[in-house]
Amino acid sequence: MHVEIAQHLPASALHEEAVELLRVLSRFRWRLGFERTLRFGLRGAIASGLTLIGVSVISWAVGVQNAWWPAALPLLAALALGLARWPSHAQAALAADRRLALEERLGTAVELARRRPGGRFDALQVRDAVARARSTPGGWLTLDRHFRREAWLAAGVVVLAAASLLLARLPAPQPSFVDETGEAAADAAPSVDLTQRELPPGAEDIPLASAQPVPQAKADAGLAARVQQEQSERTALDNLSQALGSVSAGQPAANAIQQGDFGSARSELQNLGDEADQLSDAAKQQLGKALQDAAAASAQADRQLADKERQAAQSLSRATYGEQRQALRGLGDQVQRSGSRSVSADQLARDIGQLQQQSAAQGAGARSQASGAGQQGTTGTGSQAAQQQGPAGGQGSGAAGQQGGPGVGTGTDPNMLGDQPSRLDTAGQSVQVPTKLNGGPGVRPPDGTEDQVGADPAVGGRNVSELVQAQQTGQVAPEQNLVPGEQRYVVRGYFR
Amino acid sequence: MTQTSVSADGRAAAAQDIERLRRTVEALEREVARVIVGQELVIRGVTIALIAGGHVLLEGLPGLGKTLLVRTIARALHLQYSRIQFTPDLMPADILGTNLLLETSHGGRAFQFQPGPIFANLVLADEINRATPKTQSALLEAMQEQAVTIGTVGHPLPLPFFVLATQNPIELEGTYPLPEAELDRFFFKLNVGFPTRAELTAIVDRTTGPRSDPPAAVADGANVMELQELAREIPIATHVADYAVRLVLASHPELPEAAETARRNVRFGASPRAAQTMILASKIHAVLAGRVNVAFDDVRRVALPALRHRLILSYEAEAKGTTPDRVVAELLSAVPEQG
Repeated sequence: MHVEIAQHLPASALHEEAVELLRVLSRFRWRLGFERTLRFGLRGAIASGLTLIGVSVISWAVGVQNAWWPAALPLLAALALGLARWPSHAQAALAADRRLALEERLGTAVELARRRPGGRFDALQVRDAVARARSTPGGWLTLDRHFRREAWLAAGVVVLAAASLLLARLPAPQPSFVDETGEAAADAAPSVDLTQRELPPGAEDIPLASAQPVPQAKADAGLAARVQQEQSERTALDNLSQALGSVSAGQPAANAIQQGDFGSARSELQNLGDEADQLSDAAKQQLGKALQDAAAASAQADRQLADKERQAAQSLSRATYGEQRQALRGLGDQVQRSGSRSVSADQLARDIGQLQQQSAAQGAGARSQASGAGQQGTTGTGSQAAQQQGPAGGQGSGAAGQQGGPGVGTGTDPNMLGDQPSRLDTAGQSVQVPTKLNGGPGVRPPDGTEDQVGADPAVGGRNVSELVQAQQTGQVAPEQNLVPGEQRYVVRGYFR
Repeated sequence: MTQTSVSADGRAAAAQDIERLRRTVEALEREVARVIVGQELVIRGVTIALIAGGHVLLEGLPGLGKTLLVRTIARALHLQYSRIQFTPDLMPADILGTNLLLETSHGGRAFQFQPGPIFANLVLADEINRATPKTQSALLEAMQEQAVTIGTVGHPLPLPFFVLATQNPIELEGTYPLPEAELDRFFFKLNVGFPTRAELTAIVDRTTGPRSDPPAAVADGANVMELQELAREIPIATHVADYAVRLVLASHPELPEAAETARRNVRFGASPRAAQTMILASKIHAVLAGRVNVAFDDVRRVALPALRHRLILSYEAEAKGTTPDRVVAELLSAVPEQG
């Protein structure tokens, strides 16, 4: 083959040397061509891997079957380009000169072999170039740093691409919409543990507009998720409040959070930070541990708040006063931000009620009728959570006829129109009224503010389950009137 | 005789020529080294210039052996040597010669050309920058054409013809900078540096002890001419020659190929003679390095003496203290080997 190639060269005294030169150059050509193709192949593999990852992700997200063939195109194109750019003899000579430090011997020799007429030293030069090229040791491949870097990159991309193939086995992400059957809302509703939720101050007095009968045809699909999110945010703040309440110095801030006054909470936390050097080591440790626990509990609900809590906890455990002050101030700022982001208590209660109505309407309609408890549409409950417990909620009420005490009962709202049962319709039914659990007649607050609930932080600081438990066990302070204000005259009417 | 044997004979003859050139240069350098201590790069530069048929401008402080070097080379090459001490009152006729009105044997009178000291194989133009530009310019024709014209008659100079000029870089009083046209005619400009401690010790020992034998002649004018022709036949690849060309183009600030350093520091770039010089000198350097072809490294090694006197720096660059050597070094860094 080399002789055939050499025959294309001009017939000269260089013929013999040219054959030898081409033989040497062919070796370099194969080496350089293979390297070049390999390099193109690496780049093609990178491109193909990235394409495959993109195709896999899109297919998984859209939920269609993968179409793998586009991923192979870059690799095939790169290999084709590498083969198309197979080096010539001159290119191989130049590359060999450069890599093997042949001092331009081969490049000059190739040029001399093609030149006519030959010079005085041409044959000598070509022979020198061939001899030097043959005596130069060299690896078959030149794996320089750039080449190795590309190889590593290609390997990483290929691994990622292979991993992306596993995406097809994962369930595709569900779209955010639901169909008209309202399955999403029905599925999500049971996951809301309302008994574990704490009602914000004033929530018990909210007129439950959501108590209106809700058509079951269409449920608000995002309501369950929204309620869950709102509850999570509130839970995070509650956890922080409990953590802060673990030390006396943090009590004001805890109270402010419970009252929903996040501006004050921020100020209190800043004050706590300013006075961090006044805290005892034991208090710092206690507060730090409580904050750490709160951060762990709130990590999913409010990540930013959890981070700030964790920073504050860490600073309390080992940092200087300046860092403690800074961390607590940061926590205060975050409390204000998280608080401003969270919905109002009214809205939360409204959403919960609405969600509850939906679940009741969809899943428990028949059961409600069978129990005959008259739960539907009642607004005389102490809380919606208690209402959810159904007839059992009424069992905790104490002696009837006592006003002002907490309790759970059923009743009617005269303001309700339509087919709601009237006040007289409740005759003959078991009506449970708030009781004065501590015994004795109820005492109307002297300032006439018995309808204003939530003024006492102690009320707001207890969650629903605690309240329900307290009602059932009669351990509720008399001033904690849990009957919604605008409903109390209904209750009172039974005793006049 | 077969084609193979002819080819083999040609290769053997070429190899012998190369070997002869190499041996001659080595012998010349060895003889010069018997007299001159150190200055290997200067000696190598002068040798390359002589084989290339070029003139050399030696720049250095007084007492560094510039004149001794030229005289030693003249003796080692068995060349006709003349020395011209350039002074401000030196006239062109003092160099080139003049027509004298002489009485003929027949009693008549006729002009007869009396050749000046430039009619020699090796001319030492000592302190060339002390002569006026008019006198300096008298060398222009001689250096380029190897001939002088007196009146209307041209007189060829003996071949080989070399001008080795010296100049003192620190004395400015009473000196005249060489015109650019004359500077460009010098093949190399070599800086003669101060010797090291060991070299200075050797110089002292050698010059204050018993006189040593004068250098032996290793070649003559004919041999030198033959070596000049031989050196021109050393092959150079196109891409290597292109590197030298691109170096020259990069020194021209007005050209698109100009390097950044040329745009900042150079007023006028190197002439085409610079490219010719680099390629020719590279060929000889390649042979002396044991190759039959020119490499990029050869071009780089001869670029400094070939370019430094051909770059005219801008006023700003001179004010900043930028030297041509630095600009050449930056050019070598800026211009890639593979264009």
